[in-house]
Amino acid sequence: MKNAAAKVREILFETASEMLEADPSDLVSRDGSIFVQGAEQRSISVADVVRARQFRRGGAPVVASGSFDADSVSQDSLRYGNESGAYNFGCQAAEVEVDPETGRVTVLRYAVASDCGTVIFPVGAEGQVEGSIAQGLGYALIEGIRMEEGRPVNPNFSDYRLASMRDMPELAHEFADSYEPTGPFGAKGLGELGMDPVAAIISNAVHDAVGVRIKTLPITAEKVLRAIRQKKGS
Amino acid sequence: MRADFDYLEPTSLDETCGLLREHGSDAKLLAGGTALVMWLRMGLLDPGVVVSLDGVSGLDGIAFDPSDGLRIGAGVKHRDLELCPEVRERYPLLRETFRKVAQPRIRLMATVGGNLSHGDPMTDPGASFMALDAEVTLRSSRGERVLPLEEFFVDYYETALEPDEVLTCVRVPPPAARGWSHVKFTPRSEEDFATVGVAVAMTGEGDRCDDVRIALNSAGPAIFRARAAEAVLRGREVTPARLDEAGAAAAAAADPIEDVRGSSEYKRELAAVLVRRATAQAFSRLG
Repeated sequence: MKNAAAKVREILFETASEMLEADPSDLVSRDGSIFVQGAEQRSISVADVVRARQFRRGGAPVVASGSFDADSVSQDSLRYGNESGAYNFGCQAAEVEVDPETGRVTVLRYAVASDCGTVIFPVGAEGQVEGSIAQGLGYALIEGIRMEEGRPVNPNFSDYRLASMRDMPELAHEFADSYEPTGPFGAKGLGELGMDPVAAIISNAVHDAVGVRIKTLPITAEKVLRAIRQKKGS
Repeated sequence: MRADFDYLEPTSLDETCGLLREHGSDAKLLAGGTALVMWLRMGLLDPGVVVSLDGVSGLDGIAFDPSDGLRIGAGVKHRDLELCPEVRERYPLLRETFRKVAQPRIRLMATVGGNLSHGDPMTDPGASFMALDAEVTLRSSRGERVLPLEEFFVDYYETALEPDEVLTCVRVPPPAARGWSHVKFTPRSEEDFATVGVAVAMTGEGDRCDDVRIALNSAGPAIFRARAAEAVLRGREVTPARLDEAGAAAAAAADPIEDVRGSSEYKRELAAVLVRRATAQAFSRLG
């Protein structure tokens, strides 16, 4: 993002410098305007610059892309390497209720703490975490392809369910107060951090509640009930 | 999906019945489309003619009369029934049931008549209507007949509808049962079909159950009434042992189909537990 934004700024300044008849290095941008440093009356809005660049002979929209890879080391012939120079850390906890007569697992509350360095875009980051918990809970409790004679028999979202809004537990979430020195503005990845531990957390919570350990996913009500019966029988 | 069917848009029931007489089982009726379109896409149906009920008058409206009960036009959407003040006030079992069907986007499209006509053993409304002793009106160019819902569901996706008939109305008798319960067991997602569903309507006084109707969905090839379970409780004192016995009787009558929601054996066990819980809840509401 930072790299892409810097490139966009460069393109905008190039066009603005023609329009304002100033050297790009003398331009400054603030509050949606680009102006000449020291002569702020010589200004033009970013929107006008974009429009001027697009609607002219050979014009084009202002587009740029950027990428960033935290210091990673490619795998060697023995597959040793380092996926990332900036690992993220997380901690999660769940409170579940297990119905001993049906095996149903209900997630009552879920708590998440994530370390992604500086949080640049809080709303987006929170959405990422909430989405990962939803996906993780689907992975833990709901989702599973069922095969019969080599074919999936639930290849639609009616039979292959995902967790919906109504299936989400009360969710508490915090970001760690941290700074990643190798990342842009102190940030590091967030991505799939949230969904990684969910299945293990739910499995542990079920074990804590009724003393059975389910080792295959999804942790269905039927599996839990069978395991409870088996434990009673033994 | 075959796309070369004729799409017809009658405006009256007479015209609809005429088209059905003409095309017979080559014609499929389209109401909300939530089931038909899915089946067309999956290639499970291959009609030559699709008849839209969208412009047909006389299929909408919900009317309540203290002596006649509730009359629901076949074209009424699930969502409209769920939100209807008369239903909310007088038929809490229906309100609770329709509130739990799929999710609002589906409920805004799917119709009451379409749901029943599809004969899907997994959907919720049929069991609750059956517990409330509902009947359906079927119309063809030969005339009209009225069937108790119990006789309407025949087998797996099979109803008593003849190829030339259209379901026009559901009538639910005036509310008598103060005790009711609806249990929809959906351990995967609230928006899933029931792994097993139970609807109960009960009358009684004190410790006694005078009358009870119990119906189950997702527990056999068709939605069915658990008569043996009812007989355990009807006219008797309700005790924990009798509730257990009722559950066991319902499970014995169940013939569940194994699918992604669970094995046949598991669903049978669920039927026992859920019928016991549902009858207990209905009984507690009598008090």
